[in-house]
Order: sequence, then C-alpha cells, then structure tokens
Amino acid sequence: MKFFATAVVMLMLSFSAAFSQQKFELGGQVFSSESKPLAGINVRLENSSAGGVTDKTGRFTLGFFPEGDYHITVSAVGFETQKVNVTLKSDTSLKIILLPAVVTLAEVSIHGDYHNYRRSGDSRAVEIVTDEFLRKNLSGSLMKTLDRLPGVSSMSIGSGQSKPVIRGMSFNQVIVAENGVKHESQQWGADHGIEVDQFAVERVEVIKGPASLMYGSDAIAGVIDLKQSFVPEPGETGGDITLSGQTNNMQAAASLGFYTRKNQWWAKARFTAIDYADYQIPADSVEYYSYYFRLKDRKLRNTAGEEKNGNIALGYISGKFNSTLFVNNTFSESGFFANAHGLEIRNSQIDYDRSNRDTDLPMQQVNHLKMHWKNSWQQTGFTHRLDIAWQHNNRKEFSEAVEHGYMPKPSDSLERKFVKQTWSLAYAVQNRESAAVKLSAGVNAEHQHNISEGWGFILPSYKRNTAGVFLLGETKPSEKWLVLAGLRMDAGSVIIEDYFDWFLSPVDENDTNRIFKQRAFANSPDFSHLSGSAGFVYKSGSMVLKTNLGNSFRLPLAKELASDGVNYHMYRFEKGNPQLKPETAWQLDAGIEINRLRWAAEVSPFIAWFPSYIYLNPTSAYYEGLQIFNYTQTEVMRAGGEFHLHYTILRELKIGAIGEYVWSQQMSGEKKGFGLPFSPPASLLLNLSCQPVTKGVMSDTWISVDFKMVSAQNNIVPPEKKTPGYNLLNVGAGSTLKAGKQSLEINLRITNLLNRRYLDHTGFYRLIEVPDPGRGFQISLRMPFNINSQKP
Amino acid sequence: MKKFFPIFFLLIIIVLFVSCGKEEKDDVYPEIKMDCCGGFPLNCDTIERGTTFTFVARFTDNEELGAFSLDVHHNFDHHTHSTDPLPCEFGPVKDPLNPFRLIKEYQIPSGLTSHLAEVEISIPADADPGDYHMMVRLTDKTGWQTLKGISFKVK
Repeated sequence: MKFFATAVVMLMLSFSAAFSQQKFELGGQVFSSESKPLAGINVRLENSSAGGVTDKTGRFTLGFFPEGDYHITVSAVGFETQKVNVTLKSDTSLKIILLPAVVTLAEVSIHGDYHNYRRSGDSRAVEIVTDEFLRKNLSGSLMKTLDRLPGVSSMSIGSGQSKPVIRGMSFNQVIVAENGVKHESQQWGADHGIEVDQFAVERVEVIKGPASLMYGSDAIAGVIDLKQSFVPEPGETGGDITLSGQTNNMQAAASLGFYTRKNQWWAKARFTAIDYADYQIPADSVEYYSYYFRLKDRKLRNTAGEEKNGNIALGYISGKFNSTLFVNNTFSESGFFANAHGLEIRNSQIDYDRSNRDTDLPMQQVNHLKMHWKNSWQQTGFTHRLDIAWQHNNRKEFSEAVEHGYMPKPSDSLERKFVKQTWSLAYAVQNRESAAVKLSAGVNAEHQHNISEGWGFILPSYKRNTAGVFLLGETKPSEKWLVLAGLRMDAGSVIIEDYFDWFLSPVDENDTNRIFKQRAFANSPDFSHLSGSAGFVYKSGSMVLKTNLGNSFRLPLAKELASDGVNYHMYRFEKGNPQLKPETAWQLDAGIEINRLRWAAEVSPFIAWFPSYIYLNPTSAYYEGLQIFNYTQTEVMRAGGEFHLHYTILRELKIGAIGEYVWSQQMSGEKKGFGLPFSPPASLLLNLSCQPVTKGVMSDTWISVDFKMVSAQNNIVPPEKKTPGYNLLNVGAGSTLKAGKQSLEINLRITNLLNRRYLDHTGFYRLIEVPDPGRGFQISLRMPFNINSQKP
Repeated sequence: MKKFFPIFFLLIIIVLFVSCGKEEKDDVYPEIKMDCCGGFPLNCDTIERGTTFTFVARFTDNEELGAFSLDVHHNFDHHTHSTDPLPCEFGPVKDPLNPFRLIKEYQIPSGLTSHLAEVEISIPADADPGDYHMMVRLTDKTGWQTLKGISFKVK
C-alpha cells in the first residue's frame, strides 16, 4: 500500500518535471438521465494512464493537462459507454449524462453502477443482472446461471432444466416474467423447468420480496423479470454468434442473434439450439432404498435433452411513441432418469445404454409460444403503457404404459398433457417525472384456460379470470429520502371442471361394484384480496438504508382446490381442499449498503409471516394403497437474509463473499414446529477475482474462483430427507480478443472442479438420492458482428 | 437516521432469535423389518395359488406408528423391482389374463412404537401364475413413510 502511494507520488513528480508548459484541470460530473449524480463510474482518458472513479456526488478529476484535444471514455456496468471529446484551453468541468444500457462493455464493477442506481430507487431487496453476468456464469439452464446471486437458488431437474428459488420459495410463489408479462406455464410441478431461451435474456431484475403490487397474484416471494430491452441505434445492423460446449453432459449450444434499425423501425431476432447428453455424476451407482442403480460410465441414464428457441421482436421507436411486438417460441424435450419414475424404482425393457444422447421414456416435451405487444406513449406529460399478451403452453409428459393400482395398462405413453392459454391485458399511466409525488395507476386483466389430458390425472381442466387495479406513489421529501407506497385490489375466480377416471375401480373395500371414480368436482370459487406495500430509501453519502413492508398474495391453484386423485409421479394420493383461501404473506425487509471506492458491504435481512400458507400435508393415512396428502393452510414464519462483501486488494484483484440463510417454521397445523419443503441450506460463497490489464489483442480479461460452502439441511419436513453439507469449487476465466474491428469473447468455466459428490437440497433428483453433476468444463465463444454501423 | 438503526438491528436480532428457538420434532422414518419374527414373504419366495398365506412384518418407529398398506400386483412385464439388492430370476414376459391384485389399507392401533403385522391373504386358484410384486408402505403418525418392495412368484 505504502509502496503503491510512493510510486504514485514519484510518478506525479516525474510528470511535473517533464512538462513545464501551462496545464489546465480536467474534471467533471456524471449524471443519470434523471439528473441524479452517479457514483462509481469509470472515467478514463484515452492514450494515457489517467483515470478515476466518480465519487458520491458524481464528480471526478482526471488531473492537469496541457492544451490540446482529449478523448474521455465514461463507462459503468449497465450504462451505455460514452466517449467525450474535449478541446482543453482552460480549466474544464464536463457534465456527462449516462443512459442505462443493455449491452454492456465495461468491466464488472461492484460499486456504483446501474445495479446500485436501480436498487437505490426501490425500497425492496433488488438484484440486477446484466447480459455480461449471464455470459460469464452461463450454465445449462437460466436459473442455474442466476444461482450465484445472493438469496437466489435454483431447483435443477437434471442438467438442462431448472426453476427459480427466491429465499427458499419457488413454484407459484415466485413469478418469472418476460418484459413485465408473467410467464404462464405449469409452475406447480417440481419437475417442470421454465421455458425461456437464456441466450435471449439481456437483463434480469430480481425482486426478493412481496411484489403483488405490480405483478398481482403469485408474487409472494419475489419476481424474476427477464428483460429484452436492447434497441439498436439508427442505421445500425449487426448481431452475434454464440457457441458453447460443456463436457459433463456433452452439451452443444449455438445461438444466432441479429438486429437492424432503419430510422424509427427496428427488428431483432435470435435463434438458439441446444443439445445435451446424459450427465455424469461422481458415482458408479446410486443407492435408493437399498437398491443399487448401476450406472454406465457414471452417466445418469436418459437425462439427455434438447432445446430449440426462436425469438423475434419488431419495434417502432420515436420520442413520443414506442411499440414492440415480441414473438417467442421455445421448445424443449428432456428425459427423466430411467431407473425411477418419480419416486418409484422402475425396470424397463428399453435399452437405455445404447446411446446417451437420445431421450427415451420417461420424458417431457414442452412448447411455449408467447406474443406480447408492448406500447408506451407520452401525452401532455403523462406516460401511458399498454401491454397485450397471449401465451400458449403445451406440455406433454410421456412414460411407459404400465398398469397401476386399479388402472389397467394404458394404450399409449402419453401420461399427461396440459394445454394452457393465457390472455393478458395491462394498462398503466404515470404522471410527470418532475411532479412532487410521482403517481402511477393501472388496471390489468387476465384470462386463463387450462386443458388436461392423458391417462395420468393430476390437475383438472379449469378456467381462471383475474383482474386488478393499483395505485403507486413515490416522493422525495428531501435529497436523502425516497418514500414509496402503493395499494392494489384484485379479484378473481377459478372455474374447475369435473374429472372422472377413465377406468373402473371398486367403490370401496366393502363394495366391490366398479365405477368410474370422480377425481375432481366442478367448483367455481371467487377470491379477492387487497395488497399493499410501503417503504423508504435513505441515502447518505456512500450509505443506503432501506425498509419495506409489503403484503402479497397467491390465488389457490385448481390442483390445490380440487384434486382428489393419485399422483403417480410422487406415489401419493393428493386431496384438494375447496375451502382454501388465498395464500397471503406479510414481509418486512431491511437493507443496509455501504459503497466505498475500495470496498462495499450489504446486509439484507427479512422476516415474513404467512397467515395462510397453502401446504400439502402428508398424513399417516392411506387411500387406495397410497399415502394421503391433504392441502391445508397453516401459519408460517420465515426469516433470513443475505450479506455481500467486496474488497479491492489491488486495482485488479478483488475478494468477495456472499452469504445467505433462510429459516422457516410452521406455527400451526399438524406439522407445527417443522419447516417448509425445499428450504435451501445456509451457504457462503467466497470469491477471488482478478482482472489483469492486458494489452494488444486481449482486453476485458478476467479470472474468477468461487468457493462455495453449503451447510447440511436438517430442518426438513416429510417426505424430505436430510442432506449433508458440502463445498464446491468453480473456476472461470475469460477474455475478449480483438483483430481490427472484429472481437471474439471467450469464456471458460470449470464447475465442481474437485468432482465432489453432493446432494443439492433443492434439486429434483435428490428425492431419489441421485447426486448432482460432477466436474464439467465449459467453453463459450461469442462473436459480435456489425454489418452496418453508419449513423444517419 | 438515528431512528432507523434500532429497527434494523432489531430485525437482525429477531432473525437470529427465531432461528435459534428450535423445537423437538420427529424426523425419524418408521422401519419395516422382515428378517426377523418370521417375516413373510421374503424376496424371491414362491406362494401357491389357491392357498392363503400370512404377510408378516415387524413395524417400528421412534414415536408412534401410523398406518400401512399392501399393494400386490403382477410383474409379468418386469416393470417393478424389489427394494432388495438381490435380483430374483423372472419368468418370461407375458400378458396378464386374470392377474391377482390386492390394494388395501390397514390401521395400526394408536400409541404403538412397535407392531407385528399379520395379514391373511388368499390367492384365488384361477389367478395367473407368474412373477408378482408386493409393495409395503408404512407411515408413522407424523407422516414419514417407508417403502419396501418384495418380488415373489405365484405358481
């Protein structure tokens, strides 16, 4: 440190000795488009070693320079990089305005970037992820990629599918949205991933807390909003080719992106294809109930799969009116581990080992088509937004036809088919940015239609109508304070259809007459809920303090209300409860962030109270030979939080730590004293990263080592099993190579370097004690191309 | 500002406090024992049709047993496997004509931590002979469930 300071002083002395001519001071201030000063922005003088980072007031000084022309680059993660040319004739103070960007070029900086800027405008815990983070942490599936964020984990179904977990909550308690529209698939299933093209995601905003206010039902634990907000510059045409390969599951992925803009009209498209084989685990066999599944080449048979995605966006952009039509289609097919169907050990005549790339039974196929027309316009200072969307989710699950219980052998392998269509309409209006109290109000309505088919019953067909209105206010009583509050009213109804078995079973033990048993009863309950949120942000110097109290809700699912049948996947008898009320939660969030030049720290605890958590309670009773699970409502308390620390040892070398912990307990009902299923254990991630300054063809070089320590999870609830603790070592490195105007971005990653055998408590296969993937090497190449970048 | 810190620390303290308040809870699975007490049928046993046999197993739990169920179904297509590490020799794959089938639930008297289950099962004389599979499912009062799969032959 002392040496460093001395070196700087020496350097300055030698500079002043060499130049005796008159010098002028060059500095300035950086603001956001809303005229807020931006801290932590990198400012660099080209062809010179001068540079710096803006302070909390957005100010920077580059030093004293002789008269002449200078080029300054201003950059930060999440902002459009700006180049400023100045002719220095006297002391100059520049005023620079940075616009938020999607395609980020700058280095990953921990403090003071768009991340913090967005976060300090929200009283809840928010995480922002850029496309660069996504590329550097690219995994087999999107939620696995986001796994590294504090408070976010994933539920993996094999190597190519995953679903999000925010602070221990998943399924229908977390919303995945695309460009603000809730992604509607079959979120309730533990073996259902999200159907999104991870290469098409440009920015991710994660809200770790109640968010019903803006998103309506289901946003109890949080929202993962996947944004595609990149708009090309006028006259610009280009794209990128991304290729990636993984050794563990022999995955090959290719994604081709293209964009163009002519005046006010723009278009972009992306096509992605992914193919992967069975994944490898660090074990020769898996033991489940004293039975050993022997594995060929340590590969988990029939976990291969593929994905084909297409995304098109057409847009019109002018100052006053912006309109975009998004059309996305994703298709995925993936196999389930062959030796178990759900929880049951299964033998088969299928020769699974003939190829590790094909998908045999059991397997799933999902196609998701989404059309979203997004509009915003300005009129007399008011901003209006109108979103119209239609989604079509077609899910098929196939398994070998075998007789079960009283069910005879079905004629085909289509066990379940769900076709879900969702129409949504949302309108919101916001008053002037300059108003003392920024108000926005909106209405939205949604209609859903879900048709169930196949020989395995789990979910009755239903229709669902919901509508909501909200009012949201935001004010800054002083420079340091930001106060936010909102209210929302929702109403909805679920119209459930009858379901009868397609086969005969005895009426009961003593009455051997055979009937087609009714498994779901027509019912159309109505619901309504008033939710709200209030909070504040206090900013003083390098410190940000936040508090938020929010109430969120979730309408009961048709399955929870009406199912009365066997879940052949989990081998249990699930009994719905038509008396269920909406699940509600109150959550108090707090956050403290300190951002200094060399270090940053953040702690964000939360406490949540669920007066009516919907819980699938395993009872001790049996029906038709299977354990009865009842849907009940219990009181639940949850608490926990995350912390985040970063310290810059040297300019290129940084250390960091991310810790997360969630505690939950049922306060009433039969499982009083127990926790909740799928609760992630406490974890601590230590990171060492280095960004060496490279010259010549290489730039933006980085090396990162993650050591993750995960504790054992002993706070379990039936039918879970305890999982032991483990630690993992992941290594990543990358660089951008430049030849002329062409650049090539290379990222390398080694996951589970020590080839540890571990069970991820939130993983799908841990139920049958299948360990998570072993060591894997991954390489991804991204080549952006610019066909035409002429500015009009 | 000064008002804020107490709220913040109070929240952290609450988080730490509630997470320490651990309650005693039952997290032990019940057990099915058949290598004792004349357990029957064992893996790969043979039973004659037209006769009545007694299913015998010892059920134990640390706190209180719940209920159990028996599910006997044919395995002519070799789709299921016992939970025993030793595989049995199966007959050839065939289509069922009149397979024997039993799905039944049984209550265990309340308050027991150990119970010797004895269930009489008669196999009709006209049932298809061949490979069969019996699934024994046992719960405790808390809702933990243990499974045991047994392969046996009917001749």
